[in-house]
Amino acid sequence: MVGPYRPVFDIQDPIIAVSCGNSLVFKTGSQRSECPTFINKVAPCRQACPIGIDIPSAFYEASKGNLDQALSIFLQENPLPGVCGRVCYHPCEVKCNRGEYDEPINIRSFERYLSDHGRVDIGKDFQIHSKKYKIAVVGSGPAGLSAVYHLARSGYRVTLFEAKPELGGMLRYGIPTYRLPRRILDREIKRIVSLGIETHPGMKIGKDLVWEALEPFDAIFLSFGLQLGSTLPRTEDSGDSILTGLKFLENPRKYSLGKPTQKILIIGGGNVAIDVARTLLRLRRGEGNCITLVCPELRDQMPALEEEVEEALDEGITILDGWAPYKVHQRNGKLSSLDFFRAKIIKHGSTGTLRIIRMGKETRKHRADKIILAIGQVLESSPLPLGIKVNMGRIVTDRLERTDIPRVFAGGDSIGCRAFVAEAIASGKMGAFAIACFLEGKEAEREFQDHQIGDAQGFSFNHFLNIPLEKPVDLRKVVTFDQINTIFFRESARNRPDQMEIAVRKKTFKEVTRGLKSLKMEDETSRCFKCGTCIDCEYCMDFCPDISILKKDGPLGLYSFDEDHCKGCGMCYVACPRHVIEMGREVR
Amino acid sequence: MRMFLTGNHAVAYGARLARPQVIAAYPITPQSPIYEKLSEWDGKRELGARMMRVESEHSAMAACISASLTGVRTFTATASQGLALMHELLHFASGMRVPIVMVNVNRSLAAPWSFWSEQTDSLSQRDTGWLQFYVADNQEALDTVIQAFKISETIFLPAIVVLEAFYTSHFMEPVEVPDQKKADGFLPPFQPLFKLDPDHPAAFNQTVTQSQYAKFRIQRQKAMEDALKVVEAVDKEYEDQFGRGYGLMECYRLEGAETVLVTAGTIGSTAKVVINELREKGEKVGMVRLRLFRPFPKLQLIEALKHVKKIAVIDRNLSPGQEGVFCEELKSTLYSSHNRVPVFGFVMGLGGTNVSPQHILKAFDVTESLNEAPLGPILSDGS
Repeated sequence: MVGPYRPVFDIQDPIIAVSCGNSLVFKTGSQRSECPTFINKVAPCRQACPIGIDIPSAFYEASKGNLDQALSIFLQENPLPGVCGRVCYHPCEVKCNRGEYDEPINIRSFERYLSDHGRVDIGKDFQIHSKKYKIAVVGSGPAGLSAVYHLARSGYRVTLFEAKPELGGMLRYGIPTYRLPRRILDREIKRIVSLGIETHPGMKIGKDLVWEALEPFDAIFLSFGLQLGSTLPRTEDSGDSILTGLKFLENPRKYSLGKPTQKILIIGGGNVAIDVARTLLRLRRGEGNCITLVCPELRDQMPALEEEVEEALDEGITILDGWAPYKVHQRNGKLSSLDFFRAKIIKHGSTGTLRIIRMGKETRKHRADKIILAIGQVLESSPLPLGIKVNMGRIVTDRLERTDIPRVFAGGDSIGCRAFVAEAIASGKMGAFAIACFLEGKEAEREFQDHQIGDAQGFSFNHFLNIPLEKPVDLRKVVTFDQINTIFFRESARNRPDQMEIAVRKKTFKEVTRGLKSLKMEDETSRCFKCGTCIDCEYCMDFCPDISILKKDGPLGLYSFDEDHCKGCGMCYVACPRHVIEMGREVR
Repeated sequence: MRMFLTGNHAVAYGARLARPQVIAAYPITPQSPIYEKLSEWDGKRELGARMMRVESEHSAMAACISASLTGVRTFTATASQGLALMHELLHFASGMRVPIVMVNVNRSLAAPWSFWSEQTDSLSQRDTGWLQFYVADNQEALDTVIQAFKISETIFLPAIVVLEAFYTSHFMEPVEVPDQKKADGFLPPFQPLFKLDPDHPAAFNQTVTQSQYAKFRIQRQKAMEDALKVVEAVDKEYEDQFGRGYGLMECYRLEGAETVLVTAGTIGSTAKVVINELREKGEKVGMVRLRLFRPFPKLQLIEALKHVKKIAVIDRNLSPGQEGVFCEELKSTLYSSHNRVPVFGFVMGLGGTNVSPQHILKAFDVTESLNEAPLGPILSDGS
């Protein structure tokens, strides 16, 4: 009796939900109102870098062991990683998101490490000499080197003129070897020149070659820097007892500065003053008793790099801050002492120029046998091509480094860019960009916006050259610290490089700071958040409740989402440690 | 064997005779003696079942569902708040078509706190897809537990057998306890249609499409409708083997009855005394005691009441804002019949207040005296 009512279990028509298959039939995508977008963004370090180097991508490559690829990423924007890896003021590290978590990444040491350990065949990706235009670059400092590099990469025929017997400008004739060994500089210059640059060292325009010789060039980039050290009023002629820091640094051994008991006063608070002091110390085999640096700025206002000042103090240099010289005393026709007053630096409201003013009545006298002035530099007064305007000792250009003469551009210290190597390199890059736009008839202002990094002054030359990236990047979006999902990172200390012992280093011109050891470097590569750069961690795939993250194996290597099944829940967006994923309103 | 048992112990005997393999329950007054008796046997290794101590009724039901899915016979018992806590999983159980048998001892729901008999706890679970039996005495409780296993395992729907706090749960009566062999002959081991089986992996109860969901609901409704026949058939088979049968409802002295009382549970026992007295006075009265509430025996009820003139319903429950649930269901059923007579809805015995012969007599009087039934409910606080 009961039998007929017993249901028969049929897998095709079961009485309960039972499945041996999958759930793709549920098109949960219809619930979606927002959808994820996957695109690489800019890290704050990159925005802060005047040169706009794609730092996180390089860290990502290095973390996989691809040092060559990592170096190549640096070389996309910066021809001088070995130089910058040693002397850059690393504004990138100041803005590093990791700095808000524990300590910033040691990006400068990373750059140095790559330049020392990576190998890149720089020319292989570029069609050198593919374009007919010829460009002259005058001056081979960081701005000039950067300009010829990026111009050559763009396919132009580039000729580089240098007044000094060797290329490098201030890198060679200004920065002491204990900060930048010459073999490093030579290596980098060699790499740049290998792009097919025609070089003419020892040829000073206006002296060895007339300006008119530049007529045949389609464009000219002036980057000859500021070659004259500023002098104090009424101190021009004091024999050889007063000289400029620039002259001294160009060939320190040439100047007879007497025994270590000869009292030397260095005037100035910038990097040149520090370089002079530390060079002098080394010439005196570490005897620094009679070397005194006096500057009008207070200690924390000194324009010199903080770390340089620290190292100088460590080495025993005396710094008298907040004093400005106002009177030179001579005895028997020889320099005897200087009078100083208490000084204060004020910024002029409208022009932004700095001025020294006297504070109170306090003065002090300081004995001096020699004075080295490091109080700024000016243009050499050699004639400039007709019509190029000069103002306050600087060539006048617009933001895109165009002078009033259509085919003449200028950059670097000559136009008054901030006196850092990175700024000069950025300036050379900008010049190359402006020249390319000029020659190709492109609207430079608008073009710049297409390649600008965040809201910074920097841009991506690689982007401008339209060189395909492994993953596309939105150059205008900068990842902030609060967009980083720090749950994936453990606190860890920044890795610092070793330095030569003070007692040893102050007697030698050998490099003070050593490179990071590879174990420490590996740790830094893993510490780096790689803000905005997809590293294929696939946490998005792990956390997606709908298994709707699709990995593309195509050339772009990008992830996307399964439109049929993504509910737009945003788990991937929250999980992404580096804010590659964003949620946006969906347009259907 | 004839024994003197409380309703709770009668249930325990019934459950033991059914040889469940997993019993998961949580003690609650007035159900606790059921679990205690089963535990006592378990302690003496007289019970073949695995007793599970769980941390709540919710867990008890979850354990029963999972155990049942592995293909074993499962039993549980609860009351009042415990049943309410199970609510979510009651839907799960019927949706997953697991033939769990549960005893619920009716107890008033908080607040205020109370321990006494009231049907609101089980009637609140009306729409969960469980069969519901309301029994009038201890013998019926034992017999219905055994029957419920056979019915549930035939149609693959879970069943609740409802006793009343203290009236049946703690009241002692002589009960005929079948011997195990006979019980085994009536109730063979559970044969699942499907089960969790590591050798044949499958996902159970996963998300379904809208149309699949609707299909499963219609299938369950169909099973409920089939259940009426199965309940009758199983009861008939039981009566053949044990000499006791109950039908879908108990019809008492309906021959020629013009005024009929409809009720459920122990009130039906008390009412018999009143009906006998009134019949002796020549009054044409009778009674229908509903035994099966879900599925609701609509056709059978219409048939039983097709000649009556007036109906009085006594509910020991109240759906606030409406009326007694049995009354409401009866009215809804009669709407489809040709005999739409006045139905008087009395709500009595709330919170376990006594429903005495005098109360029932009064209900008859009210019904007789009025031509039209008031909209109701006609409330009594037991005074």
